[in-house]
Amino acid sequence: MSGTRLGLRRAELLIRAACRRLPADVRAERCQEWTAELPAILDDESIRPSFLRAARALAFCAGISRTTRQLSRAWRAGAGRIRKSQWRTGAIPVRLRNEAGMTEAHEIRRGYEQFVPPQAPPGMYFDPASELFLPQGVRLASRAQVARAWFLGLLLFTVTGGIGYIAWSLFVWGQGRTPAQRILSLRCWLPEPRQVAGREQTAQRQITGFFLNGQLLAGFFIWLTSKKLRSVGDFFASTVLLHDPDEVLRLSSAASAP
Amino acid sequence: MKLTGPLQRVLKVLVADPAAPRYGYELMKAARLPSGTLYPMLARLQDEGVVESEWEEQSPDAGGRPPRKYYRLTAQGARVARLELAQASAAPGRTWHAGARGVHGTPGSAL
Repeated sequence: MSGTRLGLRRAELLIRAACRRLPADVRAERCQEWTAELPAILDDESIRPSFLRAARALAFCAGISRTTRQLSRAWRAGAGRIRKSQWRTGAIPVRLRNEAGMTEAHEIRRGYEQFVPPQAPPGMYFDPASELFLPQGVRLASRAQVARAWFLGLLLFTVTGGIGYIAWSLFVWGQGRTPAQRILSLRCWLPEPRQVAGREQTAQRQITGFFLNGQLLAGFFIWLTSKKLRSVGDFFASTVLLHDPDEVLRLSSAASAP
Repeated sequence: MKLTGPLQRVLKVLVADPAAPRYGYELMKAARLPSGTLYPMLARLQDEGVVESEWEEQSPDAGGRPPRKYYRLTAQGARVARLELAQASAAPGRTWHAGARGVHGTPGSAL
């Protein structure tokens, strides 16, 4: 296979991957339009030397990826309507917000069926970013909040001479949080039984995180790339970290405590 | 939508020959714009009725390459684009409301 053919195949794969972000009914047409441009780029005699054509094709794919990401993000955020000509369906997804400012429902029109969120149980909402059911009034902790909690934990550990932090942890683990998370209004949540993590899961999260977060930067990569997990501890304890500024999970935590 | 430099460049290319259909890469080269800027812009222009698109009919001299999607100005779009480009050269940085110029859409609706 020649270099040009190979470059074409690679570029087509990149565009197809980018187009997966688009709704199903426009994906094929957009993909066809953009892949049809690739031969013109790779055969463009005005680009010299010839290996720069592959670089141009790659830049083209990067632009397409950026375009589809922007459109996909606009849909997810509900910040702006997706225009008719972009999707050619007349379908405009709408994000509704409840009084707490949380996503409550989506109006799904033709072509967006794959995005229909599941019905949320009473008192909960479906968070499209993490694809989890979360209690009303809380949201998934941001990466910045988790980083702040990590550094604060380190500071507290140092200031209290280690033993003080451990004693404090034994006390607050029952509330599904560490001392640093308590200060920053964060709380561990079990998505599967949909309840605040107990002492056991929080301890498991803390201990596995302590020993394994640094292994090959595993904790850093999970924190950086995962949509819902924030540390190695989350992986082992099956927890996610929520921001609970109004302490709405306090009663839930008390009820689930042994 | 503000009549930005990239938008002006695309409109100038299209206005140079309003009847001539142009495909995406051709526009990218002529307007010196990356694909990540051009395609969202084309979608907005199409939404406002300034440009229209059509698929190329497969011909034997195409050499087996896939059919392209071509864009060109609509009749009203050409009129509006010429007027706006002329006014932009006189008063740079102004906002373009295509709807107010007669292209379909409610008056005052921004691009």
